[in-house]
Amino acid sequence: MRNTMKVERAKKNITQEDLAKEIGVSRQTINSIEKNKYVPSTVLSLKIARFFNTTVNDIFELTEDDE
Amino acid sequence: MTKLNYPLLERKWKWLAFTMFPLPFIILGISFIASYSIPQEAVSEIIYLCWALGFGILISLKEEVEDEMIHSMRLKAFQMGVYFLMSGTLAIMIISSIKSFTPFTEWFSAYAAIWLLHTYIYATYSYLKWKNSI
Repeated sequence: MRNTMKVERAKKNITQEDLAKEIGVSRQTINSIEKNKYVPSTVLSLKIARFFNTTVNDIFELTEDDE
Repeated sequence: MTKLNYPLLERKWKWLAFTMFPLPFIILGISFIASYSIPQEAVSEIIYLCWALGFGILISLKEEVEDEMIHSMRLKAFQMGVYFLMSGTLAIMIISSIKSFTPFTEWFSAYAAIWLLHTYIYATYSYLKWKNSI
């Protein structure tokens, strides 16, 4: 799975630390999601999408590895 | 899914975990100075017990932020710990069976098993945290 979190974060001009505080996770978790090392739960994905005023589908995308 | 809360210790207890590692040597040192002889088989048990407690405390400490990734890593660490212990126990039983025609060994006590389990869990947990931080 890949995501556009880093791009969305850059658009809002916020750091990983700021985003982590806003959605109640650690900075390491944000970093792991951005690097596609960790796949967030549905609840966390929805929180991220809500923070960026978009939908989960716009941020997260399935890749061939997930098929 | 039904939620089960795994009780975690506050981070202030970290000092207690680190006290447990040199503790068996302090006990042995004091017993030597006091001319009290600890039975040979009890020496290794004291070491296993203290180190099992030390690693047990370390794997039960709360992280600064307890989020879903930490929960997932902790769960994976416990699963891997049990897997390593089972594999190790099986290996010991096979080696012992070949060497002495019995799957039982004297040195592999309950304290040794708990110490190994906690060590495997702590090592896997630390590895996962390190791997996710780079």
